[in-house]
Amino acid sequence: MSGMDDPQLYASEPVTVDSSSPNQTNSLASVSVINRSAARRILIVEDDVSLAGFLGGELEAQGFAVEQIHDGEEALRILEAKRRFDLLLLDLNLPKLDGISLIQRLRPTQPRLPVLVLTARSRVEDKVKALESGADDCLTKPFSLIELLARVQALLRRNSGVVPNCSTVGDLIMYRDQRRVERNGRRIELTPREFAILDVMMRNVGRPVSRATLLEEVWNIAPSESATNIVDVYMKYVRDKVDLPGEPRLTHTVRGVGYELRVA
Amino acid sequence: MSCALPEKTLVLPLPRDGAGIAVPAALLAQLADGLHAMAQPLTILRGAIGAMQLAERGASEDRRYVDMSADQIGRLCDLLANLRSLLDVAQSEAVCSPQDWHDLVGGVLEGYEGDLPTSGVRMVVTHLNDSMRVLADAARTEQAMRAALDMAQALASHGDEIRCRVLPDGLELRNEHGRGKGLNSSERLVLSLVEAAICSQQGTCRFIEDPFCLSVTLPRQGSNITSDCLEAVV
Repeated sequence: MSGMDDPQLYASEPVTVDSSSPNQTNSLASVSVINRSAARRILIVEDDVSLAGFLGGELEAQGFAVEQIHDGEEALRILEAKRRFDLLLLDLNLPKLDGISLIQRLRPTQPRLPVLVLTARSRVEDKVKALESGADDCLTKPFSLIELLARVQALLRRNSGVVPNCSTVGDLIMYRDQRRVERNGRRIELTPREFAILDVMMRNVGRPVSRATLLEEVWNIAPSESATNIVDVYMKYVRDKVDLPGEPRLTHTVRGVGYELRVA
Repeated sequence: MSCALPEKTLVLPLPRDGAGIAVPAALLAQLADGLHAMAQPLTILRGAIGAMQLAERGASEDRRYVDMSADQIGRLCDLLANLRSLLDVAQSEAVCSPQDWHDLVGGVLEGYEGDLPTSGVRMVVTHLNDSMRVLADAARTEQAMRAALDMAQALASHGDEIRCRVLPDGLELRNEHGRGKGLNSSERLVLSLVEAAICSQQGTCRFIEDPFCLSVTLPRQGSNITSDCLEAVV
């Protein structure tokens, strides 16, 4: 039985899914290892469109913002255009520009971007070559999805020392590595998207966070009037869960700007 | 008695009669391509089955993962069939006999001509007048033609027009707009199958990736068969 098949890996810390939240796909919603995603941006470069779509869907269901590219040249173009990504998932056998060449051309300008290579080449020499070229980790296809998620988290964790595991504002506490939020001892169940919103807010306590920032950080999409509506919808979900009737309000609307998290 | 083998070949023992077969390096590379191609659907299948083992899922999630699994199993079956065909072509001689080329290829093209509603791709077939009699293994040729046509479609985008020219002794598939799509490992396997099937009949196969152009010819009846199969120009 593979690691993927091990139900123990899925058992702890289930994420309660709010069925009232629209557009939530929760394919692996109870996977515990994914719960620190908080809208990190992942670029998937994989020429197999089906596989890229599958991985993208599963990662998005965990709250990651995902883009998919199917050839090496286009991937390099996007990465060189200074688009910020937190992690690159890279197939080696790519049309136009192979994965090894892509890493080699990328590293001078983006030495810190974590690169996780996905390859069907099982020879040790191929993995060594990828790692020597600048990849941070390597996973051989067919891999277990749970292992992929764990490795993604490990690479992101390695690169995100500035974000503390625990943040507080008033009696609200967020434990990022457990994806756990409590207020005055009350456990608050959040969907991955809601968690990502609150995470951004808690990293900016006392400062207004614009809708555009939330769209970019949580959804990885450019601001537009129709898109900002979804921020308001999700912010209401978060507010309804964080600020119960009778409790001091922590989430505040900043008119014309966005939202702010602070103690009244 | 010594038997000269092409360079870079492996000799695999056959347990039944003790004789060996030589496996050209090119065939090994093609088989490796096939294995690489299978890794993609296997990864999705593994993920889908793993996801279905989770305790908390809705019926729609179940349905989605079951459908996904079925699709990937279908892909795997197709890939295995192509690998099997590739080995069959490598292991057995073509049985060539005189054939009217246009008659042979006409039946294959019937299902492909015109608008292809699912993909939004249009295939325009033109026949040059003078069909020749070629020396061909009919079954192997039809298999290669179908694989080539399927690949041309798979690499085309919505709105593209694939021009199919039926030559006196061959076929040319061209998509002037088919730029920018590289071959993935599944498509390389199909291309290998086309090449192997045509080359085993002493025909020629030429492939240009960008813009897409695949042309094959078969030896004309009565001609001296001297040509080697051309390599793909990728």
